[in-house]
Amino acid sequence: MSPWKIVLFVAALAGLLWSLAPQRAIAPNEPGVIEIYYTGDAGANKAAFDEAFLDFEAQSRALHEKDPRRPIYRVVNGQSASRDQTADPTRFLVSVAGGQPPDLLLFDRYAISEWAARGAFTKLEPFLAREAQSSDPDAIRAENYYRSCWKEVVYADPVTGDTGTYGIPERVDDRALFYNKDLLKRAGFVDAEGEARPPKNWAELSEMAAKLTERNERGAITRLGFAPNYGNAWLYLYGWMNGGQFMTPDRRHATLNDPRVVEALQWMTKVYDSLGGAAAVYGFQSSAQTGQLDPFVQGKVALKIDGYWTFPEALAQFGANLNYGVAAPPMPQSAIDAGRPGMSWVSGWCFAIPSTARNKGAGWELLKYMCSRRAAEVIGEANRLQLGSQGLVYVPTQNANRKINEWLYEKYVAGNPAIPAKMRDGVKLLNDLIDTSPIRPVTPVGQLMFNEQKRATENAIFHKLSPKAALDDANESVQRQLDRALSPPRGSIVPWRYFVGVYLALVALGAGLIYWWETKPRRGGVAAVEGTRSHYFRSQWRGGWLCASPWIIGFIVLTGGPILFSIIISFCDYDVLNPARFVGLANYHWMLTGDRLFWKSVGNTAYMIIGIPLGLALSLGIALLLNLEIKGVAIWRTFFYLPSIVPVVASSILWFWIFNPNAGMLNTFLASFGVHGPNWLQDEHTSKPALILLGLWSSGGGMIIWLAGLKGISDSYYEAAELDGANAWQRFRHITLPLLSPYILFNVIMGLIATLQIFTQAYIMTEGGPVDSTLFYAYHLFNQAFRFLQMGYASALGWFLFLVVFGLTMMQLKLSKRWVHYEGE
Amino acid sequence: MKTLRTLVIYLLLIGGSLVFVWPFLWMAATSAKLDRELFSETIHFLPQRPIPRLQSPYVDDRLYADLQGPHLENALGLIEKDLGSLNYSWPNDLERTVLIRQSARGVYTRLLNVLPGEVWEWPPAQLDARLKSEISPALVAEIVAQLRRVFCLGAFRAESYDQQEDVLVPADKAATAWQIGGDAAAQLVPGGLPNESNAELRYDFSKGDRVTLTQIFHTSFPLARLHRLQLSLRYDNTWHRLRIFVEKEGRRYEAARALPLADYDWVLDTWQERGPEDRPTKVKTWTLLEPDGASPMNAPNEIKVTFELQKTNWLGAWMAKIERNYRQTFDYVPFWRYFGTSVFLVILNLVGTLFSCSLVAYAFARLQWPGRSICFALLLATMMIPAQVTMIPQFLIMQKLGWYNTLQPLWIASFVAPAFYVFLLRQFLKGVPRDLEDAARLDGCGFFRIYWHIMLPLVRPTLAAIAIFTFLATWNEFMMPLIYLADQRLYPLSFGLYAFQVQVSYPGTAKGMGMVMAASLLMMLPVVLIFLFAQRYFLRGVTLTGLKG
Repeated sequence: MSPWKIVLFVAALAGLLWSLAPQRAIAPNEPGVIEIYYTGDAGANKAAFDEAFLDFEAQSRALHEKDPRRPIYRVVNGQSASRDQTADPTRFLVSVAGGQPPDLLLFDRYAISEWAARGAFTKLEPFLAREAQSSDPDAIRAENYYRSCWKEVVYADPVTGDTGTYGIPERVDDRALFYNKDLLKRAGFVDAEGEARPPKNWAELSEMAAKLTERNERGAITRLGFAPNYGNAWLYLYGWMNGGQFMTPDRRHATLNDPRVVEALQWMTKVYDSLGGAAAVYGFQSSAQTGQLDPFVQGKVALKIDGYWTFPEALAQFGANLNYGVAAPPMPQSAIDAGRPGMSWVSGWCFAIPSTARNKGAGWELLKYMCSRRAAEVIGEANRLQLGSQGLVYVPTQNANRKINEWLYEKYVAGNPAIPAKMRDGVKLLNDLIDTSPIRPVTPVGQLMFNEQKRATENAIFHKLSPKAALDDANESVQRQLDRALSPPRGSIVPWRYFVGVYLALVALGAGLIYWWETKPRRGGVAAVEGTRSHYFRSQWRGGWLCASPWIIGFIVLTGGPILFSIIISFCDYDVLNPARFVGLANYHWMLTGDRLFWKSVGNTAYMIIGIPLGLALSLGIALLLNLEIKGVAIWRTFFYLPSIVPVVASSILWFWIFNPNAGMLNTFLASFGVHGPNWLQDEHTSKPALILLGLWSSGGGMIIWLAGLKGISDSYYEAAELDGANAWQRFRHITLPLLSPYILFNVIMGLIATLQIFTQAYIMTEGGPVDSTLFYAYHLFNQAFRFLQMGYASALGWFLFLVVFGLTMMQLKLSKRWVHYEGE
Repeated sequence: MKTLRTLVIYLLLIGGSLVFVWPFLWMAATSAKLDRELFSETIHFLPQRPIPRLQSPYVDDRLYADLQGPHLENALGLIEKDLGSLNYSWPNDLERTVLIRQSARGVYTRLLNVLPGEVWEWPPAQLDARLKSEISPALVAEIVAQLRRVFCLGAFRAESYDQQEDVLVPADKAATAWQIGGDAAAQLVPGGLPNESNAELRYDFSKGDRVTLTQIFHTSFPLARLHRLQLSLRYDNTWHRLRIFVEKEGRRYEAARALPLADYDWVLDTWQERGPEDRPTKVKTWTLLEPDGASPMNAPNEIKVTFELQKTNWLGAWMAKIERNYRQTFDYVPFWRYFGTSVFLVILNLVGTLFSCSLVAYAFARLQWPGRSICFALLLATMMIPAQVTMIPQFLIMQKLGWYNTLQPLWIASFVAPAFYVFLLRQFLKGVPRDLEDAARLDGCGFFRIYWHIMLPLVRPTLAAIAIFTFLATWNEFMMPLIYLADQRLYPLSFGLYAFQVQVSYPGTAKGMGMVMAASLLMMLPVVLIFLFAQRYFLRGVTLTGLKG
């Protein structure tokens, strides 16, 4: 290539890159515009929220025209690529760690304390103090909100007593008992006037549960009377009703094994037993769909305790012909005798400002707007219009602001003749229940407690453990994490500057030493490297250094430094938000003795090893087939190879749908043979086999390697064997396999190393679930680093992984000497 | 014996390739389906054929096509007979025999859920009596309403940027507010239930292929502030095309594309001009109005709106159906933005990897310099370190450099020579005969020219393999965007696709599945095309490196 051609080529490339660079699209192209980054839920509400943002922007523009000092706001509300902010806040926390989180975030209230405790959210007191001075009727004041909602966003550290308000409540959900009047009437549960009568207490509830449940001839449940965990009650509700508590008032001790809670779980277990066991109920639940096919809407569930969202999501749309009623969840008789008021429990969302947000002031402006009545109206109207045009009724979500909630109720529920009385009464009942209903404990381990109560409930109702043992176990797990959270390490702060200095000095010293050693004349006057005395070789040295410099720089900055850093950090507690502190071997100790998920993830990863021999056998089989004398090898080969080059994101998404239990390819295929397929990814027993199946589909890459190996086997061996009378199997066993042994070993080891690092498929398809059944090692490590920001612990996990990989590589070197057959030896 | 063997081999090949290729076919078929088809009781492999009916309203004879149940034929006969004798005024704009036949199927489906199973086993007379007692005019009316496909119009609104809303045509006036034009026979009839009124547009395309609805409206706000026009309507699943023309402020506007009358739910269609909502992060729930010449309408509050319904043929209907999910994908995500970002990253990674790796490999293979052996040992050692170990410190370094939420972390590492490719190239460069180098040196070539003119051409096949793997790795990259990018406008295609899947799919439903399949197909298309054109290099790359693609 001549120089001007190169120049032209480089120029063209640079031009292309410039025109493609997306960074240019980001810069705000208008003076005075301030961008506010917002992250909220991705669901159906997004369109309505976008309307509100548009209104907010228009308002700011109008104010700017009057007073040019005021900024024009623009809300950036992109797809945040996070499925559920609460269950998996990874994307949010990574952005906090990265230093560019959204300026405003919609977050589940009960999860806010967990991250507030770690310093991920801003204390809103300064803003609230300003609001208190303001005469604006819309100003944000605690007294305007339901008390339980506000309590949930105030976190006080149980040890230091440091208190702050970390969010402003947005919506509320509480729970009630929904019952199908027709089914109750049919079974004779009626009052004096012949109207359906909901259960008064637990005894009646369990009686109805058993009596209203119907089964088919195979014993499968076709109509469910009532199941404690169908809907959204959880152990929390039953525990509280029974007078139990899940935490001591000082919030330093978890009390999931409170005798009252244990009693509640015993009752739940008894109800499940009376229905024919939890497995039968879960079988019924697993085929449940949403929307129009919702079992309660279809009359296949008689009673359920579920959240307020049952109105907007199911009953308002599809419940016109359903004769239902709503009542406060029934309590145990002892609680009624004690005169406790009817209760539900409250959850919901709030707006919060991350601690590292770049533009907190603007975030607060948007927050204020979103909490105003105007925003509630814009959102309400957008939803009403959208649903109304489809002939559907709009029922607003419950707002955490009491005044706005009452106003919404008057306007959209009481004031809407299209809403039937049954729904109006139900909404009213749920609104009235908010005041007497408790919230989950405000604690840094809220999420874990939720998971553990769920796990304990399942352990008990499936009779894997007694209720007491299950809750003891859950309590221990929560307490262990709580102790860890409440007693932050007291080790000394890591002096990073010092370490960087030492590292650079070491690099310089090492370079000098190597130079000296390699250029030192040895015996006979010759150095380790040619050229100490020749000008030509000296220039070659410079050439070598220059050419190798990309790697050398890369090694110092992106590999060597990070490795040392990683070693140091694995002995530290570091969450990016606070300075790193030395904790000695605590991370390794926790890994091997404290962390249950560590062993679970190791087990899951080990399970996936099954896929390696299967994949090898399958690809070898195809290779053998293609190695025969067949026509159109290239075409056949393409068919088999194609799946292996499909981008993993695309193949994961494709198979995510293939495994869909209702509409997926696999189950519709099985159904055509009359087989009822499993739930695949949604069942902890089939999730790993499903992922192995996906792996087998893309095993075509291995086939190419086998083909190369097979091509390398000389025909003369086979001819000789045939002369000796060897049959096809013997030829395969005694010629092909031994000659392929280097490939086998290579493939097995590479397969093992790849298996240890399975991540993307699980992240996209299952999120590590269900019940952590696809939480693989690399996923666990990723979670620790970027979901829990336990960078130190994640590094320790990384070094454990290194040890395993190192061992495997060594094994490969050793084994390849021992039993692998190399031709020509 | 020989032929049997050949037969078995080819059967195995065909069966095997079907298993491997089937997901692709399923994906392509799914990308052309409506959500309704994916979410029904019986699921068909091929998308349902779109039928551009000439007359509307008509009876949907496919709603109850997949019927299963005990004594099906028998029961249907009985129900049909009962329906014929039922005291019910059948609508006279639908074909009676088809309607009764389909209604019978609908009634059967309904009764299957209501009646106890043993009823169907009863003797015909007894069964018939029971069926008769269940069939009421109300039930039949409900089923007929389900079977009747008709194009319905509801309210028509205009909204300003100041949240001012004008209902230009209220739902109960929809039947009288429009002037009908066009060359096909058509009429507007009041329809719907009393509490949710609307208008039915009945048309006949057997003569003529165009129906227009026109009206001039006056808005309460100046049209310069017009944000959008919204019409609620219910399509009739005929796949004919609906287009809007707007004249205001002396200009004429035309919808950028016609909407096919697909599916039959009530929808709210929106049309608007370019404005502040045109952002890459915004889901485009509207159809764009594009300026298209001048118009005599120039009063500030006067707007003329014309809806045009245009006939389509079977080919047009198929095209519209196949296109539908792809179009929606483009509305949902800034696909070309993502695509451009991916290409941007691919170019940078290719340039970086090829240049740096070959240069470094040259230094390791052909040049003598102090520190070489140690450095090479270090290079080999780093290949054993799992990426997970360095991932965390690298993240923190990038964050300290202020590179979080920029694209730098996604390409910078390729410029510092990934170890595996260096190792690979070094092995090949080692094998180059010394004589070549010496001859060049005698001719006065420096190190760089030897590298450029001698070494690079000799390792071209290896470089091609590395290029392919770099392309694949960059195109498929998931982890890097996951931890480094927060802003949707920076997403590459792979991650954009994931974000899209998260956005549109809800667990437990098949909602959005067609769109996601369309998007995945688009994403893998470049990879597949490049594979088909450069198959040779792919396969050689695999055997050369032992990587599996």
